[in-house]
Amino acid sequence: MKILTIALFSFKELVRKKDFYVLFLLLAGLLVFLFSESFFGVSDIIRYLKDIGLSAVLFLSIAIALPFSSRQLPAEIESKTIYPLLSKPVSRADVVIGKYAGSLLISFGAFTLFYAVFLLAIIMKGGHIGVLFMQAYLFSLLLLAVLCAFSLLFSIFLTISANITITLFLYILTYWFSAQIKSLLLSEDLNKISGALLNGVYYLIPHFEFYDLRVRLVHGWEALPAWIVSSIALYTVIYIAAILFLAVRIFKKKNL
Amino acid sequence: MPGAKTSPFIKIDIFCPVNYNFCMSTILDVSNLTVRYGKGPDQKTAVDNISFSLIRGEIYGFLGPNGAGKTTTIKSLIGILTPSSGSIFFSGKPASAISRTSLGFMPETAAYYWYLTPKELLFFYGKLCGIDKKTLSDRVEKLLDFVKLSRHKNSYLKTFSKGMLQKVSFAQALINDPEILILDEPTTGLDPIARMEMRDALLDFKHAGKTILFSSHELSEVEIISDRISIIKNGKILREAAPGELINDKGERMSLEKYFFDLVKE
Repeated sequence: MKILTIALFSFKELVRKKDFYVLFLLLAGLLVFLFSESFFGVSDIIRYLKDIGLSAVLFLSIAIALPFSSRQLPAEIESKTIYPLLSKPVSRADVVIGKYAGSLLISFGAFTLFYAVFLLAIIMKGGHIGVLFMQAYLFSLLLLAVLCAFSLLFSIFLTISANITITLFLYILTYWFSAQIKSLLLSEDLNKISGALLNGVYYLIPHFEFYDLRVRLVHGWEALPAWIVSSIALYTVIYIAAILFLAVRIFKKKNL
Repeated sequence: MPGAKTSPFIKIDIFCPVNYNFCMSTILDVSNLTVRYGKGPDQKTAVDNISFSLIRGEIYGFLGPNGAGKTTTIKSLIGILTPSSGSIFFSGKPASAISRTSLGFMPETAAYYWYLTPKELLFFYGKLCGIDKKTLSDRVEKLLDFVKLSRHKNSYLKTFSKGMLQKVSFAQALINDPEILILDEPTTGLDPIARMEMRDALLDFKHAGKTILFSSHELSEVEIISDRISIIKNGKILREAAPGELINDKGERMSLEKYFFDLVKE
């Protein structure tokens, strides 16, 4: 109940700020432009639009989610609103989890709205919405959930700008290098120690590439089997639980 | 704040001839509290082995120069700081999130969520205290009336003056109808009228049988409303007594201001 109260009041902040509306208008404008008739005269434009549209929707959702989640705890501490908050029967764990839940509400809400606009544009362009679109939606939410957890953890000891930069770097680097590490692991040139080390790194880093279904969407491939979707969802839940556990531990020790 | 038609406090009857021990019971007991910051050679002792207790229904003033350890002590009481050693008991129970249900806190800086209205803010804190919806609605209205902010209940806090924010801060401290109220420099930055109103509100709270601990630089204010005063310097309590006792402490009657200056200079 306390966690939900903190989360809902965090959500209220976004609703009363102008940032969200600006980004929403930006996306709507971008999609209208992309989906306008005879765009550059390219045939089968819908495939490109799926790729660019989904990327834009995800990018703008991250643009809302990261600054918001990275600001939650530092803003409470800087403005000293943390003192009356913690003087109520609320634990530091409640605050961390509540702020995380608030970040999820905001990023999920923004993404859902943006994604609805994207789907509407696809339908208007004559595209077919299948199960894969729903899987892409779910995986994007999971990706946002992991990013929010990281930025909330980093916000306990980093400045807001450093936090956003590092979280984005983590996203981009692990996205690109996970596959490289995997192929290195599969090669036979590695000795036992470096193999074990690399294996450890591979399992420790977040695997953002799991959540990317753009290629499948663009080429109209089949939807993923249910066991893969469930496994990735379970992996995400465990990964987030570990990050939040760490965040609560660090925040409990922080001098306020 | 004074002269409000309805008091938001649930009155506690402290006149109980049958069980006198209950009337004089200790509501807050702080024992050998020590708070240290930092590690190794840079370690600083902000609060050094202090002990004090508050009796139900009294106003307890915490006096001391800047950096004396007043705010650190208060932060320990409300659970923001974990003491290095010592114990804190509220109504005989160790301080924890549960015992904070009967505690109200007003911080030195009245900074709140600018995007909320005072009504929404009070609902937020009330829900965190686990107050049911009907009781909370009633209490929010009474508190806004008590701090004379009913007219502004739907205005955003970003439009409020410092004095108005201080009133909101006072109201949020009272949202759970606490048994004990802890205030850190409650009159800082207030004009004389608002200061007098705050003083009257505190006395109103005391008359409802509640307990108050507050820190202040304002010696005259502490002298007027406190039942007991504690003078703290370098993390240690130098003297604890009723204001009347202190001003006659050295054999001759002197002002609390002179007594305080003499004591902290020693």
